[in-house]
Amino acid sequence: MELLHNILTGMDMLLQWQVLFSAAGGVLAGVVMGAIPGLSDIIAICLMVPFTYYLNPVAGLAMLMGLSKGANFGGAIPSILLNIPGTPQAVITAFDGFPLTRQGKAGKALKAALYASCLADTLSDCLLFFFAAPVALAAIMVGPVENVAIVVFALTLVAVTSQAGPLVGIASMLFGLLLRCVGADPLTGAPRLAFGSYELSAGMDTVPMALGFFVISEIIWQFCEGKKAANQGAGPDVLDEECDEDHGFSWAEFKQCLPAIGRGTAIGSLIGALPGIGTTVGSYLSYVATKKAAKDPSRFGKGAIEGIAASEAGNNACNGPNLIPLITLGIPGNLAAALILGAFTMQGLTPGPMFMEQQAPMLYALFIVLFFSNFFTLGFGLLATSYVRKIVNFPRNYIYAAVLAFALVGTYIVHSNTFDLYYAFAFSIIGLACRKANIPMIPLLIAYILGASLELKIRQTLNLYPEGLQIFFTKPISVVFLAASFAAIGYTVYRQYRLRK
Amino acid sequence: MKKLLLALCLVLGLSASAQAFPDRPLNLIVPFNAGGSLDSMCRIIAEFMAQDLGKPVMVVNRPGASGTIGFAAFLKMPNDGYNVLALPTSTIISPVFQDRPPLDPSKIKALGGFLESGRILFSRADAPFKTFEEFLAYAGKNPGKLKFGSGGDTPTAYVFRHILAKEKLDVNVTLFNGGAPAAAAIMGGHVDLVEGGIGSPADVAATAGKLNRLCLLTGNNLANLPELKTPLQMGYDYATSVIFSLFLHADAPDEVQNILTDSLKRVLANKDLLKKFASRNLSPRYYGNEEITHSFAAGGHVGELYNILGKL
Repeated sequence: MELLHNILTGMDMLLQWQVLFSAAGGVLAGVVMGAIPGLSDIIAICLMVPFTYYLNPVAGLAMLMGLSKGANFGGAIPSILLNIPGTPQAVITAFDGFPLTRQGKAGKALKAALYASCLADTLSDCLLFFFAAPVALAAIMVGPVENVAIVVFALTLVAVTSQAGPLVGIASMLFGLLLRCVGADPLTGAPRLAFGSYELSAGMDTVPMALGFFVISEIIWQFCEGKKAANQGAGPDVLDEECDEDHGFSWAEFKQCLPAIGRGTAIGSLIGALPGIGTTVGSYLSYVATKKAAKDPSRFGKGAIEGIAASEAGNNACNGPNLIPLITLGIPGNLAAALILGAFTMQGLTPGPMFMEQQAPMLYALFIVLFFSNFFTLGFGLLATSYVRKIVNFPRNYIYAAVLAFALVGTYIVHSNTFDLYYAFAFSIIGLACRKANIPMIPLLIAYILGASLELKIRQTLNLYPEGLQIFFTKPISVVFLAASFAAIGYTVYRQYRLRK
Repeated sequence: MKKLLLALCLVLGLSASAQAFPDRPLNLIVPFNAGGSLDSMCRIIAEFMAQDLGKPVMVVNRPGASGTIGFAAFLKMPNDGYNVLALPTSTIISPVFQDRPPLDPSKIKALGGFLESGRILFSRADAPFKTFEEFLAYAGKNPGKLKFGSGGDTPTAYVFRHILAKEKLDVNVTLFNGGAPAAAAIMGGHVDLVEGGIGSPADVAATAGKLNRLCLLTGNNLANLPELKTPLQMGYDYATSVIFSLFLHADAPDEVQNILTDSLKRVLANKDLLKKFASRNLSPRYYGNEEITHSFAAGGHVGELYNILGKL
């Protein structure tokens, strides 16, 4: 009864035109900004924060939540249509999305991404709604030791499942870790591999890295490939010849995607509840799991809709659980959560252990906003899919120029720092080299994202347990993940051996 | 058409430069993870300063290496006064800055402080000790068993290490990127003790009965928790002084500094703001340059510990 009362009070705060309008506006802006490579959800949120000053707190929250959800789906659009990820978490969606576009099935791919995003998001919000307390309990059980084991497991999986083969995957992953060492020591701040450069010694964010490595290098690569094709007399048409256009998404195809969405939701929620692992990893692991479970894994990478569904479900399912540490412990897991913390603080509310009991109506208002935002994403997404896919028919060179401009603005805008641009260019050259040499880029990217926290957690562990590395083999959670990592390596070696024979 | 555009740009550019400071959003750089005590306080201050200045003030978290990464990032930013750095006075005199020549405290100047923060030593509610004396006894009998986490390599952590050294206790010490991750670690049982400020997640958890407060690590008693003793009252030689303060680049324009200082003063006299802080048992006020310098001096001798205890 009390639950019902709380929900009704929460509803009361919400059912005002201003709140619904803000959520819808947030989602719309999010989809647009997410779809523009270079303008990630972080930048979108920073740009929109000023507008929230003119709204009441619930409406402001609604706008920010809608924004981060909209951006999460929006990122998939250029991934699918242009093979240029709009946000780092949409990198994996391009694996199967872009081949579908080339087959004239862009609409189908976009709808698969949209349905998977919204469904997984809603499911993960339910998890937040009903199981926040137990999930939070599970999340704080992960300390430095367990965190190291989980990151090692994620990196191992990413490396050994790499398409170019496990050895190249591992090499690429290690190179990513090495690049991450440039900058300041995470514990003491001592400069490393900075070659006397003050700029390098401060360390670098992942935003310029991801934009340079993926977006800028992809633009240059596609431009050069297009030039080559044009020289050989072929047109710049993206569509493969002799393909039937098909933009529908049937009920049978939806059912085909359901298992992938389920797996993606489970994996994404798990990753989302842990601080500092990140949505790109959730998306990748979900994709790998679906590919492993498929009857015919060879379809993946050539336009399997389950691949899109798995990737999008995996990254959107991180959204709900990302808020759990904030609500239960007062500890924000990402930037969106940090801004919500700010909004709570302004209301005189202090998230923490007592928050669930004392501020239940506010909490339920937040939950209901999340649900509404998902419906708005679905609505705007459906509207968008029929129009945005036409962008494929645009002259390529205009698209490249526009995307390049946005990528550079996006790189600069994060810290208003010119050096970030050099950094992005340096990484675009590394990205081009990887493409030329057929070195998989995902292990490098994920190693770069996780590298800093991996090192910090190892150092913390060794501080807390001076007896040494054996602690990793005595804590149960850590043992499970390390054993799984060894099993993954063992299985790969065994399979390679079988393939040789 | 082109000429028209050019003219338009010119007019826009001129009107922008003619406008008074600030004509666009400001950044407030917090060199720790979101959710810690400095971060939560800054979010309130930023909101009120935004209302006062008529432009958004955005909190930007640049965590890492006890504040040095955020400090370095701030120094690289434009010195036009649109970038403001939030730091506890203790961090600036932190021993970790002593061997990092580019991170020179003389490169920043203070707008003023807004809150004197009491740093508290917290322990888990289910720990086998409830008071500071019981902690000393337990740690003495169980060398190498207890674990302490700090939000950074701060003077506060050095004061705690001084207590350990003086009592010849063996407690493992590690650092987190701010009070929020440290609080998560103690709630998950990964460390047994943390230091944190009033109003931090650890403090909120202590009010909820999930953590115990053992003692202070700063030099002044707290009005709402008078039973907590300072290290000096317990017979130790060091205590820190922490005033949360805002800084600009040392070469930022003076008129901008005056505008921002006045805004900070007005904000700290705002009744709504005081009410928000009061709900957390905090009483902010404006701290001028003299008091900040005094805080440096009061906490400054902690720097000696760097040479006595060595780096972590």
